[in-house]
Amino acid sequence: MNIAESLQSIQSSLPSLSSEWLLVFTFLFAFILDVFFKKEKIIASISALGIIASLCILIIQTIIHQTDYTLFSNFYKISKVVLQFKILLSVSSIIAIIPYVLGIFKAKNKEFYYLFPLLLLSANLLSMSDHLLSIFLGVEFLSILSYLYIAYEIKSKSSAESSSKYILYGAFTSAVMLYGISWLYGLTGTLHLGNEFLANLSKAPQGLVAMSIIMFVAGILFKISAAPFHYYSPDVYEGSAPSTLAFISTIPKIAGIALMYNVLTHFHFNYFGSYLVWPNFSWEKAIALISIATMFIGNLSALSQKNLKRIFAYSSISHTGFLMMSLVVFSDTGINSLLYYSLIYLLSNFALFFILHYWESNFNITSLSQLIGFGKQQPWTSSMMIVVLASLTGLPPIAGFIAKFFVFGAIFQQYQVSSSPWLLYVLIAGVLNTVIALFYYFNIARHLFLIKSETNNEEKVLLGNSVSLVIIISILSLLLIVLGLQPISF
Amino acid sequence: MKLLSILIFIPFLGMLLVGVLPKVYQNIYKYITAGIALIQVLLAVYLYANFEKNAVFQFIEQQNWISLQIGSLGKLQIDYFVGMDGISAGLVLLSSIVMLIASLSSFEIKANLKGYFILFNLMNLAIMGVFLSLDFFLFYVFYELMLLPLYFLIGMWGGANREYASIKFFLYTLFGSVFMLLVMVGLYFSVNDPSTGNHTFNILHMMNPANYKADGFFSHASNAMLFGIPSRFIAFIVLFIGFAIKVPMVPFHTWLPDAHVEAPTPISIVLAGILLKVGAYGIIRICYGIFPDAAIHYSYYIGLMGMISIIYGALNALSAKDLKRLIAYSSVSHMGFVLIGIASLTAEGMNGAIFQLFSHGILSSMLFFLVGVLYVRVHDRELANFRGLSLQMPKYTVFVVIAFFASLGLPGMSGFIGEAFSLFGAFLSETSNGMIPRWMAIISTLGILLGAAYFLWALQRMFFGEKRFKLSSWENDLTDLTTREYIVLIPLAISTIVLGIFPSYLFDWSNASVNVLINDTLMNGYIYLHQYFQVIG
Repeated sequence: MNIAESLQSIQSSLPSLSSEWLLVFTFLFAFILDVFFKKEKIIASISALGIIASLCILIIQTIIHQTDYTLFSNFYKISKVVLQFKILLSVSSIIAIIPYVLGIFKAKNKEFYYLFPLLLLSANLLSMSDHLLSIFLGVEFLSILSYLYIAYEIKSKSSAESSSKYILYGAFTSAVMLYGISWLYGLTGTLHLGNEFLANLSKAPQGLVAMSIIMFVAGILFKISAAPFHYYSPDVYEGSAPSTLAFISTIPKIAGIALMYNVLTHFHFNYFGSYLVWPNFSWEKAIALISIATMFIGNLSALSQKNLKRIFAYSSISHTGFLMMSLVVFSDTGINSLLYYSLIYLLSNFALFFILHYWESNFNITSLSQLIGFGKQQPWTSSMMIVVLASLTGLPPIAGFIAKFFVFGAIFQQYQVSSSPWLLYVLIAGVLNTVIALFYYFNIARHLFLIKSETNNEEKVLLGNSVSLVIIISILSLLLIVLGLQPISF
Repeated sequence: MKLLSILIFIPFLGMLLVGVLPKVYQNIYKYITAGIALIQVLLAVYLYANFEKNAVFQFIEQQNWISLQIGSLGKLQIDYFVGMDGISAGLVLLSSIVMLIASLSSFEIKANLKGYFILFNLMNLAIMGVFLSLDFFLFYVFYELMLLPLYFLIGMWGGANREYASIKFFLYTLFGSVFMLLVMVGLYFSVNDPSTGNHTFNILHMMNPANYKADGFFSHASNAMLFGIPSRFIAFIVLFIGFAIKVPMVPFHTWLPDAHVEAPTPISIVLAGILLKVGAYGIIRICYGIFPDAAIHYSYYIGLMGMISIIYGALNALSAKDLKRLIAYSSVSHMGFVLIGIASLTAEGMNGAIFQLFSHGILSSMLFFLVGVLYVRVHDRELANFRGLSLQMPKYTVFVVIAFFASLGLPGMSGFIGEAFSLFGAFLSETSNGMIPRWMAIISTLGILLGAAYFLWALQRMFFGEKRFKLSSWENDLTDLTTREYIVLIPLAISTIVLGIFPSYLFDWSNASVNVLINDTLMNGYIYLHQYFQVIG
């Protein structure tokens, strides 16, 4: 590759990343303005406007998208699915930053606001990655920003513990991932995940290939908290503020799933052909196993938890299992179901963590036992919580059911064609996990409404600025109900 | 006029009204709910009266509901498709009547009225929808939608052990339904809509084998096997178990005693009066309608489980110490008659089963309401704590006698017709179509004897003899029936006697549809079974 070609490739790729450029510009602009303005609202609003503008650009890009193409000599790939993932990420960032703009949540310093566009930028870059180097850069970039947000305000021993665990675990996993990537480079001679890479990989000694791929995939699975790399998740969630968890549980996860999709697109089992000559290895089986393990571990561990945030950490883990379920099947329907599930997942998660934040900051509720009789004190938010719990379980007619239904449909469609037993196991596991999950989700409902509390609770009046938070929660819950009755098409 | 949609969705209006009216008006909530239920009864009676007594689906409404473009494989097309035929006509009328009884019984609820009536109306909506929907997805949505309000209704306003009962009910029923979801998805991908070529959830299209794709997983020509059993048979088993949990059939009945006993009276009325019928309706409409081949293949076992339910339920009722538990187990026993009538696949048996559904709905509502009458006065239901109630509350005793005798199957009342015809069908089955052997019917008749035993013994222990109550203060508390209770009990008593003497009021409506169902099941079922066994050699 000579200099002229590289320059040509860089020049032609720049316009496609216009939404990312806008995010960088927003960051720099807000960074500079921070020196001149004291009011937080201005900085927050500028960041929000930048994100909204980049979303608009993305929507235009999605509408005029014709063929898939790569950028910066195979560093990034733009395809319809990638653009849709980027839209989901931008939507989550907007929902995340709106409470800060409205003044509902307050951050310690103004850096918090203008790092938001950077968080979105890192997630976008990760979801477009097609090259081992850009994958690593994206993972590191996203990880550093995630560490920053988790460690932002160390108020107690618990938050210090969670942030240090996250940073150490993440740093170690990144190192392992980098080691795996270096082995992959050594075995294949190229960092671009393409035909040459796969061809060389199939010629390399199988044991070495297995080891390097496991190390590489470990990094990705860490980001999406899939088993067996999920152990950090409950501790990290327990020590963080729910307002932070709202976006930390969604943005890195969706970016990680997009990355998983990008990687698997190259390896996936529909076009093995001559590239993958491992007769006994089946990606379908591997992903199905990880998905089943993640779902069961997440759901079974949640049954005995007493801290609310830990319960929802394990529930996030089990939802990751479900998201991976739709990655088992690489059909059009499967990817559409993955996108739809991610959308519903992010809406439910935001509503959930906003409700938890409202309860924690106003009533100091952190554990399950404190919820006894709370439904009487706060009937409206408790009812919204029931709607969110129903969506997470997958009860009709709420959106979570439609999302699960699409996933089951995609897998069954493939099962009809291929009759692979792993697809059947995944279906049965998904269905059983819905029933297991029902128990711990409705355990929360039980504490809220069914158990009669000893003290006589009056209905508490809503405090000050929390009214807007309740309005946001209500809008999200209403959206979940509406999307359940009339799902939108991608 | 979209009468069926009005029938289904008018409780939503009730939900909104109860939701927006502030707490000051909370006394009106019960009147709003009862009013909505009354409108539904009037509408149901109108629909029933104008129902043409043939096998055609009537009052049909079909509209596009969800239509999504998914991937390159066409559209996901789900319709809002509702209609009524002979099998569902009686059940819709029953649901509306039982809902009215339950709303009148809800007048005794004192706490958290807003939440109660919102959830009650939601449950009303879901139940009406289940009986009327002809699209499998819509059926499933309504079927699951019933569970959430019931969890809260049992769990918040119930008895001492209500949390256990409500979560047991929810988990058990959901377990059955999620596997049903998988079969539903499978059927979707196996069936094509003849007019558009898309996959469809339309139950009527699923009943017609011409609509199945040749390589569909659940098609008649498929030789897919799961755990050594053909795919269509597995689908039937999974669906049947899902519905059998609701029926309830032994051994999936263990949620019922807890749920019925711990639920508040109006919810017990809804549970026993309507919910159990949803299970049986699902078996008739979906299991027998879509999988006639498997239905024939497994009818022996269905008849066997029905017979076991009859005897086992009756024996448990005989040993019950709590009156509500006795009636709960008698429900298990009476639904066993329904199962054996369905399994016989004769006109008498099926018609008897549907009649028994209606009759049991009326009678169990009456029975649970009568228990509620006692409970609301003294908060006690133990059989041993009451003696000589006929001297204390004579008018109440009249209704109890009517209810008990009707339930045990005294000729002249509806219970007899239902049980008798189910058993006729079961007896006939061995010689006419060979589905179930005669000994099953013979043993099931013992169920009538056991029914007489537990009902008459309870009647004798609680009502006759000298007055002796657990606490002497009860002599003041146990007042005779109030006006509201008369309003509920008199129509129920009259209807059970009228139906017992003029059973044609139900049979004429259901007969045509039942005959079509039986002919289709027997004829087509055998054809597909032969095809299937030829395919696998």
